[in-house]
Amino acid sequence: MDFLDYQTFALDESNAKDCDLPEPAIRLSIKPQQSSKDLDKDFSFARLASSKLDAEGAESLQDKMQKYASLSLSSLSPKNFSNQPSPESHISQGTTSGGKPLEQFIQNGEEAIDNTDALLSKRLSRILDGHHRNTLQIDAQLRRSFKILEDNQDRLHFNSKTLVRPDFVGSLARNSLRSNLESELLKSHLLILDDIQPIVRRIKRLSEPVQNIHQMGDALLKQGEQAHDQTQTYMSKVYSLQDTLHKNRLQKQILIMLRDKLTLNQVEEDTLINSIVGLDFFEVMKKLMRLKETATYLLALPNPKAGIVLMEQTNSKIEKANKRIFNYLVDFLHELQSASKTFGERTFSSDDKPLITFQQGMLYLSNDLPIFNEFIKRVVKTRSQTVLDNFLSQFDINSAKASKPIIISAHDPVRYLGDVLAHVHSLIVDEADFMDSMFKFQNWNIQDAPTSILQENGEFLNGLSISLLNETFGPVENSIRIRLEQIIRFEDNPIINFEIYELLSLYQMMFIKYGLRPDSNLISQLANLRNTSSSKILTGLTKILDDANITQNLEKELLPAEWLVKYLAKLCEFFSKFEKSGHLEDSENLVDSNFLNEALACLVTKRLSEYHKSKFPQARKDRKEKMHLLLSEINCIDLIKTRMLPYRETIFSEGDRQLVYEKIDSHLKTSIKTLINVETKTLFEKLGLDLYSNLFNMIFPVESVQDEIDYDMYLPVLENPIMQREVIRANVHEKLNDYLPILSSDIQDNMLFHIVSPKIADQISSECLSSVSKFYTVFRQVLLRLYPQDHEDIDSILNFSEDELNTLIGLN
Amino acid sequence: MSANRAGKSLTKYKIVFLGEQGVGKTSLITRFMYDTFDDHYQATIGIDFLSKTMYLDDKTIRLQLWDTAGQERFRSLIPSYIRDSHVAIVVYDVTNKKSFEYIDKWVEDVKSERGEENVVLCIVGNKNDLSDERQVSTEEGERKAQILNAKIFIETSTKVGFNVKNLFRKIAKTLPEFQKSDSVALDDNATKNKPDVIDITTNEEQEQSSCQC
Repeated sequence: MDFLDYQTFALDESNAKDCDLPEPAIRLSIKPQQSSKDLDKDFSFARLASSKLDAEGAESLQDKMQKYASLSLSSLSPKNFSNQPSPESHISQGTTSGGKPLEQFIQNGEEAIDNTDALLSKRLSRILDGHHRNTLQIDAQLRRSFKILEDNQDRLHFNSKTLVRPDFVGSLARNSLRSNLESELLKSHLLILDDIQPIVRRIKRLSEPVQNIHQMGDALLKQGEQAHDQTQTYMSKVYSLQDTLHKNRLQKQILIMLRDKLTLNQVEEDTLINSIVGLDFFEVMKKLMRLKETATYLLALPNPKAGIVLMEQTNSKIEKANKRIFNYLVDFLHELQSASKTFGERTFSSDDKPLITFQQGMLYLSNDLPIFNEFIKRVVKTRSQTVLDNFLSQFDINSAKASKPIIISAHDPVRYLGDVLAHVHSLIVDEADFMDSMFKFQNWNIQDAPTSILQENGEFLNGLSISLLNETFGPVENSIRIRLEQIIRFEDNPIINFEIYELLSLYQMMFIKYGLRPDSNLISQLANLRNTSSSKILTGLTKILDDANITQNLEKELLPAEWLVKYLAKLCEFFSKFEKSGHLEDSENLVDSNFLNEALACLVTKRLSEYHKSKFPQARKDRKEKMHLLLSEINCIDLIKTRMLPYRETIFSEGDRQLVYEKIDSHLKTSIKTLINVETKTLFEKLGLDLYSNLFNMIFPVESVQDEIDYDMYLPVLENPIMQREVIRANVHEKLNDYLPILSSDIQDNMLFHIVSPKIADQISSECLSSVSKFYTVFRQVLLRLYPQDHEDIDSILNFSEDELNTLIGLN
Repeated sequence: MSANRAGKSLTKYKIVFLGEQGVGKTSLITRFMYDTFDDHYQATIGIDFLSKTMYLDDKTIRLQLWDTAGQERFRSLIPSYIRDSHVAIVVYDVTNKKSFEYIDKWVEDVKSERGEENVVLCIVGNKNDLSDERQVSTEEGERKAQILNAKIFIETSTKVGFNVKNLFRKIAKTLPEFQKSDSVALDDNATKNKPDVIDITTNEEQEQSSCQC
């Protein structure tokens, strides 16, 4: 370590100025005669450490250098030189060689300034040139030393001001600093030695073995040359052993991986056998499922033995685990069931852990179909029993429930059936709720489940709640059916049967809406009962006719029979209900053409015919009775038609149903036509024109006569003896005059009095009178043509003109 | 473990909605269940069913909402549902006087099936937001409810969601399960955090402020 000799900077105390210190001392006196070499040797620059370079804020080295140079130059300026010692004297302020004070030196040096200026400038420039090259490194080192000293000022306990003092105190301080530094140095050396000591000891301890190895190495090298071949053999053995070792290591690694991948560890085995069914258990199950999947890949190998063994082992474990899951699920179910019985209904929120475990168990169990089906059977059995108990409890008259038992409404079939079906409805929605909460896997997070389960059973599991609901109601179906059927079977009223039909249709729709399958037993049973009730509607209607004993209790009235009125009233009531029910648009329409044929067409064609035959047995022989028959028939059919008229645009609006209505209408028209013919014939008889009418109609129908030309067709009748004037007079004149004035009233009062419909009566009357009028006109005109010279005679026989006749019969 | 595996106890309450066609029975249920309103009217066919679970402390109740059809042809079904119901909500339309007059008939049906005491009778005047078309005043409704001995009378608007939750809150308060545990418990925050929980704790005043009239 370098130490600065601060003694060289010592100045006289009286002349010492802090600002000038520590200025480097010029050791050599520069003389004009001296060579530039000597000047270089003795000249020194201002001290960098004490300079104000740092204080003045010099930023870069270049700035510092420039400032230093200007400082140095300024110190060499004449102005400064006035205060500087002359070159001849001791220039250096710090020199202590002469021991003279600085002021004295300056005074002595003033004379030499002029001489030395030029020389100094020259030297200074040279020194400055060389300064960078030679002294920069020393200065930097020196600066670092000062810096270190400055940093450790606190530790070394020195006062820099005291240290630079030139007097004894300064000297003492510097000595003390030196000794402090030395002792510090020693301390640090000792510390280093202490640190190194254990290492040295270790090296010493190892030095002997190392030396031995070294010696052995040397010996081996010496032997090596001798036993080269032997070494080669050993080395090859070593390499082969190394290879074997590497292979064995790899084999071990593979076997460990296989073991981890294809077998369960002890903890997992224990979990599978002994732990409670829960998350850990399902983790092991998941691994077993993976093992099974892996085993299937192994089966594809040329030697499938490993795959077969693994598959067998895995299957056996899965089988055992499935049995445990099965037992857990059954326990869960029984516990739930017994808790429900004891404490009332139970429920789970969707995030309940036991519920999630239960569902996970179901998920894993779904892989073992026989056990899974067995569990499903148990669920169905348990739930069916609960549903059945709930269902039957409503029929218990001693039930403690607040609602009145269904059995109380048994007197009202529709209400009773409504109560039963409404209760079944509430049982279905309750059960659907329960099944959704327990067996709906759609909302459950099954991301962790093995893909194989989801791929194979996902669809089935998602529909499980619906299938369970349907299966649960399978065993209950019989009890429900019995309770419905016992009412439906004994109900004959077609209106009530229709209401039952409607009720069953509606509940069938609602039950399907809430989860029952259209092909489920309960729905099928409801459909069967619905068909029964629909068929009983027609049966009920026809029974009214059967019970009426229409061929007995015959009254001689021509008005519609009472049984017909009652029947039609029932039928109309049914039709009105049917219209309102909205079943008209149904594809399987209850009131189809068959129904209408049975209920109406057969009534007209069969029942009424039988009735009239029984009522008017002599109708074929007796015209009067035939007229009565026709009158009664018209009245009955007209009544039927009138009662059916409101349903013309609904029930009879289209297709085959429209044909039924038209059939009734055509029957009525036929009857009216027949009656008109019979009545007209009677009128002609009463007028004495019957023979002539027959004769004329045989030649050409009188009704078809259009104009006067047609009369000529009847001219050949002259050949007939009855066409003699006298014969005509004898046959017609008197009767005509007697009956014609009363003809109209006779029709109204006697013949058509029993016709209920005034419209039909009017139609018959007007058509009969028209026929009479027409024939009279044709007959008179033909006679006038036959006897052109005897018009007066003809006029006396048929003494009423056409107009007069029309007026008398009321056609005008 | 055993207790958990058996789930929580559950009490079911049957609520039947009655009233003439188009008064808003289905809308009332839809607003309560899903907080929505459908402008397009669609008549109910037969009887519809919806259920909601409510949790209170350790008790769980399930409200079974039976929505009946107002159409005449389905009338015969309704008594079978009133027969075992705990609450009967008779709804009328404040803009339709006739629907208000028919309340008597509905209440008569309820009383004949359930008697006076076994059922909580509520009378609800719906479509309260249609103030311009109003035909039945609130006072008339209140008077009728008093005469018919209804436990709850309230006017609602399913369209703007006015008083609907309030109605069900009032109904809940009358149920034996809630009466025992005091209605304050309905405000329990714990219930709000559970799944499938109906929050029936709507501030009455706050809901009142949404009234359009």
